[in-house]
Amino acid sequence: MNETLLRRVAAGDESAVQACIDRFGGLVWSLARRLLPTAADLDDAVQEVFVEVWRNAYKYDEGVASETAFVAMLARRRLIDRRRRLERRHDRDQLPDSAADDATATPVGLGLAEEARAAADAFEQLSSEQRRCLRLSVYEGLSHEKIAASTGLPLGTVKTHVRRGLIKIRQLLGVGPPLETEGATGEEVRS
Amino acid sequence: MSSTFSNWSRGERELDLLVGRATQGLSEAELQELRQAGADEELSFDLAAAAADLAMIDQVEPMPASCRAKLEHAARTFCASQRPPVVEVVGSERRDGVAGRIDSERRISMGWVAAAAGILLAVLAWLPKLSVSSTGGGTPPLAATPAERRAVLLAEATDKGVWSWSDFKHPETQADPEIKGVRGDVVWSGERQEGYMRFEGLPPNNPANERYQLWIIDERGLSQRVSGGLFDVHAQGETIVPIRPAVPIGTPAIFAVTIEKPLGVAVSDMTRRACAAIAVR
Repeated sequence: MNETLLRRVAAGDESAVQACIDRFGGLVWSLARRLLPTAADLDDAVQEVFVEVWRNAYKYDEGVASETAFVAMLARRRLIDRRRRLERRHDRDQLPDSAADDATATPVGLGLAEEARAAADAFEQLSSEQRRCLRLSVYEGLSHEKIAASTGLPLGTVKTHVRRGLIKIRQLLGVGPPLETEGATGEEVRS
Repeated sequence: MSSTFSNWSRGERELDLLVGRATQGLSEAELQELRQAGADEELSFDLAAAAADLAMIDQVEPMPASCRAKLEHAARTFCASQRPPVVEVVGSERRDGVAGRIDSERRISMGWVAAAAGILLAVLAWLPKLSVSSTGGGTPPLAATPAERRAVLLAEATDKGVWSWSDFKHPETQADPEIKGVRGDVVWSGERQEGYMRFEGLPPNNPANERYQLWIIDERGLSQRVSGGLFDVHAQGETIVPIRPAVPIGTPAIFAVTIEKPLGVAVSDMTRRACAAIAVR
């Protein structure tokens, strides 16, 4: 994997801009397909994400995250914003079959890079409830309220599982030092 | 990126907002709250959510060819916007010299905050003077000056819009702008990502002291920052300035011109205003 791709983009290397499409096109397209509720504006959404990536390439720091994670982060933020803007959130009346009882889902390597495997390893270290809530929240795009309604868990518990799961992943992957905030790492489950 | 991990004494509310942004997005009010808390540049939760997402993806679909074609077009537009600015001959009466120019300001992240909504709503109340026309399509021939290229765009872009300038009154106080009575219009084609501003009555500026700054807001609204760029006017009379946004523009909602310091500003306080055009179709 060429670790300098985003730096080349930031430096104005036009071939790197095209190379970004080659490398991350499938990832961004797949994220858009999953996170947006309709296929009507997928092309526009993907374009919006890539423009965001190109514009923010100068912010990339390989000491903090992989290029894939950085691109996925920007893509998710833009796609989530777009979904809110359209006021057409995922409106799934029922939990996806794969998610309803998928607390032990086995992450599958993407073939993207080793960071996917590292992320999968970190994910596996979460509790089953944390994995379940994160899967519904992050992967399926459900709101915390909808997760609570669908799983029967109290809303506060859902939020706690999601928060605690993310905190653990960021610590395992080294994307930030431990939080010092009181309550952020506590063991109680809110209800 | 690493500089965003300096403050770890986060309060419960900030953590809620950061987790919410990473998983389900935030409202504009919540984003503003995060900004006011100084936590909006904190990325670690977003990165963690991205990592979790990567961990759960079981397959990556190839991008369809049609999408890729659009993306490659966007890439070319983006690359063009990043090239060094070109001094443009503007002003149809002065083809022998430089009358104005516009820079693509990739470093100026516009950051048009809540006031933009106010602008849109307030200015709409008294500004719209709309004219939209369409003519036949076709590939525009090369044209030497902005005035000629504008004429080609007007003649051939089927999706163009033309919107008149009006006084850019303050959205809250309705105070008159510093520069009143600017005439002219904006012509913009979304398909071509090409547009021109035509001014009459916009006085020459001294670039060492101040420059005009264009702001564009499209349907992405407040959450999407679009840089309109800086430009100068060097002569009285009609001035035509090409628009070269740093990123592709969607459906424009408003074009507005303010007067800023020579390097421009990230967020305008709108104290020095000139003109605005509401792009109502």
